[in-house]
Amino acid sequence: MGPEINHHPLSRADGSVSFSNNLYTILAAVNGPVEVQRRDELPEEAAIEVNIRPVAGVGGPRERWLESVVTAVLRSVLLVHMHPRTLIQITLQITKLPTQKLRGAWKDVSVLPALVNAAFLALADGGLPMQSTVTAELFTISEDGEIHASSAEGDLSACTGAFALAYNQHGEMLMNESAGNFSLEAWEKAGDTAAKFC
Amino acid sequence: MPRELDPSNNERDFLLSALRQNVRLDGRPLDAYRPISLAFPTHPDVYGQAEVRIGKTRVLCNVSCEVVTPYPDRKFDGVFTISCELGPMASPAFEVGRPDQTEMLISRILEKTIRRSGALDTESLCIVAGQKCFHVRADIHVLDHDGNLLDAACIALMAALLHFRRPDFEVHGEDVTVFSVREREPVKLTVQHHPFCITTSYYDSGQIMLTDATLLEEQCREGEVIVSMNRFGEVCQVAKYGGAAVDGLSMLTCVNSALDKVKALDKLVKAKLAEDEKRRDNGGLMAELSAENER
Repeated sequence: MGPEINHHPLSRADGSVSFSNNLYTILAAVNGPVEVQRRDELPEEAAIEVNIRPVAGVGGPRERWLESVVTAVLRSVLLVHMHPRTLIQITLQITKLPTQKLRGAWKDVSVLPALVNAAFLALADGGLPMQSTVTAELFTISEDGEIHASSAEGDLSACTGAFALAYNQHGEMLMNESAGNFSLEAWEKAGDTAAKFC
Repeated sequence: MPRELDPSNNERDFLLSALRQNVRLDGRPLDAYRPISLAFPTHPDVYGQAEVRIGKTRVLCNVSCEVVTPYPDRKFDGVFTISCELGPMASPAFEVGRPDQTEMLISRILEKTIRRSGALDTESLCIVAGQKCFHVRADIHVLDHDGNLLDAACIALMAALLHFRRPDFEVHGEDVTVFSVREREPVKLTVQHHPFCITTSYYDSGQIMLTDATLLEEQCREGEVIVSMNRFGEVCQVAKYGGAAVDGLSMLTCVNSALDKVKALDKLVKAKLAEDEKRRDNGGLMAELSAENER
């Protein structure tokens, strides 16, 4: 079963989407291009600001790291030179967590594909110019070396490694984060499966 | 980053002249609320999340808890915090990290209404006096801003508090065991009373009063009166931060008319909660646990 996508649920934001996969539900809202603060202004491109809000509590260093990863992915996707000296604001609100508690790197890596997919769909909904599409997915490698895509909670607790990979439509890798124990061959195998999947 | 766009003179004059003829732009009576919908998460193990929609305004409230050490000067009480941060999702005028006036107002009113009035009994959150207690945390996320954020936030917060279940625990002398959701059924919070906020906006020095203003109506208003009360008519607070002067009799009318709205809101929240409980009721447990007699 694929992820559930709801287009344009919000009325104030320029583009919005609600994206649910097996683990997380993310509500993404995009505003842009809007006026930028002097200090963030870039002379030849649009500045990209990503805000990640967790369900409980206010964001901390973990959310800042996630924001930096998502910003890096979106930089390669958005046509920033079309709107210089403006700002593209993306807010990602996590509305549903998986019921089992994940810790450390597992928690961070598992939410990344949902965030990237939601952000991309919201940008498309808002009509922002992009040079390519991007699809992200979470892959888990179990003890016998099998790669599973679209992991559910059961897969996560049973696997030895998890990878969050994103590719654009030309098959170029845009994001690569992982957690757990795995060998280089396993990683390469995951990469190939992901390229075909995306 | 940009300021909220002010309505044009035409829009403002149109709105005000319509109001003077007792007509609102969306055709509602002056004291009617937009359709309110309240939704809880569908997953059976997720408690404490409520999403409220008043017209296009959308607010999500999430309640969570963890075990912490209580404050040293309040050994027998748990900790209850409310966090409301407005972001660019609600409206591009809100910036992250810089609390603006609306945000401070919402935080302050919710503090007074729910925390100071003792709606949530913090003594029931204590596990071992002076050592362990629950820290209940309510996070309010505004998803869409089309006016009347405060009322929506309050409804969401009350609904989420009533929906939330905290983990059950047992104390044997000095040993405390906190059971996970799978080991024992989680327990509801002790909510003493259910206050709600009613915001009344006024125009023409208090001549025209209406409730549940949309964003456009909020931008054109002269001021607002915020009344918080529960369905028994007990007033938690009355706030009027600046704005044009309003005479005493009009304030009393505000408070009186707020009572009917609060009763209606209370009924709505209770009905939705009962519906949700029935849906989660597996194997008729609710009927077994109830202490009601058949006659």
